[in-house]
Amino acid sequence: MSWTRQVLRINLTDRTSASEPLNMEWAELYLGQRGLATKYLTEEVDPMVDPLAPENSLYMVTGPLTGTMASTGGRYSCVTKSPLTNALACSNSGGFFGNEMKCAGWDMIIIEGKASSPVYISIVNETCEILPADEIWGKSVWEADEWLHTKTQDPQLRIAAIGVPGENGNLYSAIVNDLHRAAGRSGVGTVMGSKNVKAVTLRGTKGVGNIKDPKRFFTATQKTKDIIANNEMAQGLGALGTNVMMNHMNEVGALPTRNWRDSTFEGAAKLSSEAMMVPRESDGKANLTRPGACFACTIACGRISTIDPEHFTIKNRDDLHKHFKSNSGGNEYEAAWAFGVDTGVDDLDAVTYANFISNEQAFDPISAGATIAAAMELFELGILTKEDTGGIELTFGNAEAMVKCVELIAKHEGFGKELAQSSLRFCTKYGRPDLAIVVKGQEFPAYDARAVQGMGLGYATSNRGACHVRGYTNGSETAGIPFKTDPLATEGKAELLMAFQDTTSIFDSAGICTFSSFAQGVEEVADQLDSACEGNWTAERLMLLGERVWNMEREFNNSAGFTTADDTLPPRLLEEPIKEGPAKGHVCELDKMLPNYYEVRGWNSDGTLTDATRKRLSLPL
Amino acid sequence: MPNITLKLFASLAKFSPENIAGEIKQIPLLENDTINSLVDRVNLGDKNLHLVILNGVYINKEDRPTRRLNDGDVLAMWPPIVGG
Repeated sequence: MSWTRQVLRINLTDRTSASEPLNMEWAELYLGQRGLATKYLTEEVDPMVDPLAPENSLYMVTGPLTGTMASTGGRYSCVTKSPLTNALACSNSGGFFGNEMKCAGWDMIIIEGKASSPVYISIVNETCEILPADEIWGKSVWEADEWLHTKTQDPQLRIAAIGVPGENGNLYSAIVNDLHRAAGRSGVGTVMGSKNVKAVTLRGTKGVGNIKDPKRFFTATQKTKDIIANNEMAQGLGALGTNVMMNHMNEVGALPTRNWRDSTFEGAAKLSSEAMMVPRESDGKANLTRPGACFACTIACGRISTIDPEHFTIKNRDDLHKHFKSNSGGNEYEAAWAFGVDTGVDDLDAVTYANFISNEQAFDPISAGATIAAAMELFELGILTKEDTGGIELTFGNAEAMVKCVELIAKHEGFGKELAQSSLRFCTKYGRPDLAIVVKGQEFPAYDARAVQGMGLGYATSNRGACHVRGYTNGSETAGIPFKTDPLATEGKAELLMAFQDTTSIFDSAGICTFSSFAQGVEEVADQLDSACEGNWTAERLMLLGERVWNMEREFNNSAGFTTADDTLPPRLLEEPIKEGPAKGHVCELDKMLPNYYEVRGWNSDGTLTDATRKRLSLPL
Repeated sequence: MPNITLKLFASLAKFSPENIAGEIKQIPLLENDTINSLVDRVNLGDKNLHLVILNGVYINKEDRPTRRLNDGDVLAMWPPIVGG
């Protein structure tokens, strides 16, 4: 089968590492990647553990299709307990780190304990070394990447690293691989930093194999390639990226603006995918240079962009890394929204600059932008002063102020240290926790739940705090994919969300990208898995597996102390109606959806699993 | 003269500094214009207009042949799109 069946377990405290066989019983129930690593976590880590203690473990994990010729088969995940939410963290990244892990012979790397001084972990096939990172501790991800490539003289070395924020306990630090792909959310980079690990480097020369029926696998994967190639949404994503949502969400009045005070943004067009295509006056180039793709992906939704050379953020700057004046990872919808719309800033280059920094120093742009936006509201209310901000005039729409905040977060200096706490802790400190737009401590992404009811239910019930990708009902509610539902209706949203959540769990556990789910269905995934893996993999088995993964995650969070009281939304979404546009007058009617959601999930009214559900899903009683 | 604002996005648009959001133009309305009749008149009838949003509200495909347009309406259109 396409698992390597080998797991690398690293003990940083003892500075030892050992290979162990993959638990195949768990692989059969939880598949790989998200499902599999979460099973290991639930078995090995106390749900009440302090996320930044050595007793928390970090799992870097692939799926059985990672590294194979399956379309979009380049994904890997970082799973741990989150220091941002104290719930499960499961962050998914693309690029080329996952396939290299497979090529080196590993399904998963487990990092336990804490090193006594800064280290990086070097893995070359079966050889694992824990090496001093003194020369790169305190440096950015990009500087560490260069140092490691120079040291090894291996241009094919793959690197996943943290930046200065992750070394210093910024609660939304990410792990960036391949310069601008990221396991972005929930502070997985903070956990890596707490273990004194700067980077994990991988090099594999074994190839990826163990395919049960290669001929059938070839046919199955070619079929999916064709489906994706002919799919108009996949083509659209390649041409315009995820930021194609900007104008759409604005048009339907569901674009959260200025810390969710408004739901349309007058500057949205300037930040959109379309705006990224328009040649600049200064140099005649557009913001977008070209699309970017991950391993085995033909969708190429990634953006490679430049900043206007005349823009204040980079003009006459000698202190910046050379990538700032060249190409780097451009704006996804979420980053453009968080640094732009949420802060009221309509300056595309300022937002692109902020996005480059979030990759350079590895932190979540959603949480960063949303924290700055919450701080802006506190400033406008007079609760936060210039004395608090170190002199920054932190008003909505102030691009210089937004950029200054991002720079300070990146360096973990001054006011940046305050913002590093994340919006809930920051707002609580100033007596206004209600202004932190979060669920379970994690900041919301860019879909106004008052205008898209199903997304509200999704934010409230996501197992990793507010998240849009866990159950992207917006696809159905506003974009009509795979079928159209009424965004303002509450009826039927529990069932719809459950279907999205469970299906996403499958893709997240298989090693392929959720974006392929807009083109290929569970049947196609089953066909590829069944060709590659021992055992009988059907769509039905996968749907049950997806549901099992979701419920296992829920169980972990319940054991970590979460209750139904945490399945809620901020007061602004429950009590402050949208002021204008097609959703004018609406709040998120979570109370109409949540009880039904518990019911369709087979849970008690307090949000705990019933024994009947555990039994049906083969979860421990 | 009555007209509507037509907004074309994503692959339906030609990008230019004048229209950074895609294409936005004023289209004169004819009497009894419906969504479909206007779409045909601007030569978009053969495109896959998956998303049609009239004044911020989604219009089902089956309603487009009969849905009348009024002076000042904003009609926004996309091919199938998705994001994250």
